[in-house]
Amino acid sequence: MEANFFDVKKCIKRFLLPALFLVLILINCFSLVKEFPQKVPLYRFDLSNQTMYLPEYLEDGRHPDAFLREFVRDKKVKFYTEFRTYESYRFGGEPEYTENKFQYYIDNNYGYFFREFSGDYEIDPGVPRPYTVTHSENTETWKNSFTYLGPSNDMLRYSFAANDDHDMDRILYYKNNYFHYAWNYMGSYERRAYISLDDPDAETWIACWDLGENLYLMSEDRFNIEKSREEK
Amino acid sequence: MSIDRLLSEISSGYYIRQVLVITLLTGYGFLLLQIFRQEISVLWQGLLSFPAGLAFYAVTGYVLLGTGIRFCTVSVTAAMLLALTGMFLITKKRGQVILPIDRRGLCLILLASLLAACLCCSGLLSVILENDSYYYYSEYPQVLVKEGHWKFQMDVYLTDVGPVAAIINALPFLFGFANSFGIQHALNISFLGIFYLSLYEKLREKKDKRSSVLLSLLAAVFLATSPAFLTTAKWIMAGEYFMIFFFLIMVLGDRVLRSPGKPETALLLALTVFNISLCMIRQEGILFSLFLIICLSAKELSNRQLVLFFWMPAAATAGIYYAWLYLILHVRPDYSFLTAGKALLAMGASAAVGFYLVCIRGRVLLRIQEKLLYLIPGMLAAANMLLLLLDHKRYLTNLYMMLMNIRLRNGWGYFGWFFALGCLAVFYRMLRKKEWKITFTDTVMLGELLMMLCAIWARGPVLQLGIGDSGNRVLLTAVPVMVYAVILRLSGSGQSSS
Repeated sequence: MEANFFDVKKCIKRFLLPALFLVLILINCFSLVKEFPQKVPLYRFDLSNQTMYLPEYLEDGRHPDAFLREFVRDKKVKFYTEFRTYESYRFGGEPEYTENKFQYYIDNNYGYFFREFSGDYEIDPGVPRPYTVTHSENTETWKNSFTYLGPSNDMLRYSFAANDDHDMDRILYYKNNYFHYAWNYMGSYERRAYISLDDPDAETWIACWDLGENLYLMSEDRFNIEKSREEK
Repeated sequence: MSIDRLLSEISSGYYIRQVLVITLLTGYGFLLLQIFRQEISVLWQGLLSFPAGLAFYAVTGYVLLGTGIRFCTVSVTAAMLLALTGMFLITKKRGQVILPIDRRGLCLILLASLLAACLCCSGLLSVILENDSYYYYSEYPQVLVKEGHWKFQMDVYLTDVGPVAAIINALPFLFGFANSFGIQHALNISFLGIFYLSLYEKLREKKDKRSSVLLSLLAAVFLATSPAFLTTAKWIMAGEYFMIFFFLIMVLGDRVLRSPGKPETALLLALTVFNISLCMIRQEGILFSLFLIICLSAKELSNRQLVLFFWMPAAATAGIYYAWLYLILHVRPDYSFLTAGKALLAMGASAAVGFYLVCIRGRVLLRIQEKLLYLIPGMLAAANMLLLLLDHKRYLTNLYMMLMNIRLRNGWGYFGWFFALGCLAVFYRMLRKKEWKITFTDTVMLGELLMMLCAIWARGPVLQLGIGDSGNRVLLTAVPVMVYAVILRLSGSGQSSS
């Protein structure tokens, strides 16, 4: 009897920790199924989608720049921005521009983005500038017929990393500073990114934007069609 | 064209490229460890191959950026090949026996790695993504590859993202794919294998083979199914790499000495690479690296080994980065995690550790040094007390929020309860069996938690409720060390002194 008791005790001692772990694993599995998906933003990609963008993002307009960074990676993008320095805005410019530090960002930030992330880029004076886009009749058509990717505020906020215009004397160093950009883009009005997916395989694309920093990205062929329609 | 089809077209070739990168990094790591292969088992070589290959890539990238050489596909690949060739030639010149490469082992490792990579990149395993994942750990690395150098305009990216984390996440843009999900999952799988093996070897010191296998396996499965581990493992940020490199340094540091004063060279090499990676994986990484160096100084490594393989690489790594930021680029973001003041403090701490290793360790206060494993958590506890006195409101709020996050299972699952019960069981065992001796693992675990409380206090804003709070995520990275330490205590293993 005594020998049996010690055997049982030895057995319990030996298997106590493993048994405990089995119970803990079961509790873990329960937690994983019931709670975990509610607590953390879990995403599942698949073999056919190896990017960082999910189709469901289109429904609620999330991370448009994650899509755009991938989309333009092997494409040529034409846009018009002179990449004027901040200094030049302080002392005036073309009549349609007011003395407005935000004009610097309106003119340049999308340009910085496409210059950094597209396969190739070209500064094309034939691409309409923000003032022209704002007063164009095409804009409403574009908003209605293009695919809306989502708010581009973050996309513009983080374009600072591509902005190589900085005053080495540090007087105006903040102009491409994250904080300054963040203040401008967070909690303010929504900038919107639109893309025409009529011809996604096109090699050359046109990027233009209006004074509200709404982006319109379309293939060069589509742009030429829109341009000739407006000229008529 | 539908967005699904468009994404599929864009992704063409991405899968195979990421699989190949993982496989090739594993092969590279295996070859690295082959240089000294007679010292570590094939199993260890296999499990360490990918982490070693990945860490060596990160260190190579860091050296390129730190020396101003363009960081690009060609330079990284060339540098890694040169380094590997150089190491073979140096060891050959020194007359060390170079046995033929274990070709069978290499083929097996490559095959296993290929299969694992196919799974990891397939999308079957989910990931956690937040805003930071898209900008700090994807867009910034893409800019880094495009620019090829650290530049002033990278601004807050430079001060808030650990450079090694950016370099690791630059792999997609160097080698033509889009995300690092497969790389992160592959590292998780390697890590779980290393966790199992290191625990098994420790338990085997006191237990029979069957019990050791069973307990280690169950512990690894427990970890793999624990939300507290998975939150960090799946989150596409720097936490996973920090968690794994820290654990690797702890376990490899514990086993680096086969016999007193005779370290296993392969492990020293791996430790150096992991230590450099840990330093710069997060901005506070240098402090945790210095902490581990002090813990390792309780072992019978010589001062020369500690200085050459641990302290100097860590100090140089951090020094180079801070010099770039504040002496060359003069970055001054209005809001940043790393500041010039913090950088100076880190270098000061580094200098202090160097002074200790060169002038104090083994020379003076020898009686006190014998109690180092007790002193380390003691001093960190005192540091916490000091922070409490300096700003008790902030400290107590952080502590309260930490406990609330655990209680509300914000990323922790039921781990908080498990750990609390585990600690009670440990104390019970300590009382019953009078096991009062603190071990290396105990010191690392306690010290890591205390250091994290200091780091959370020092970062500025108080801890917030919620899984996404960076302080909460930092604490979660200690989970594997906590599990490991508690199991060793409960099983009575790991009680040998340093």
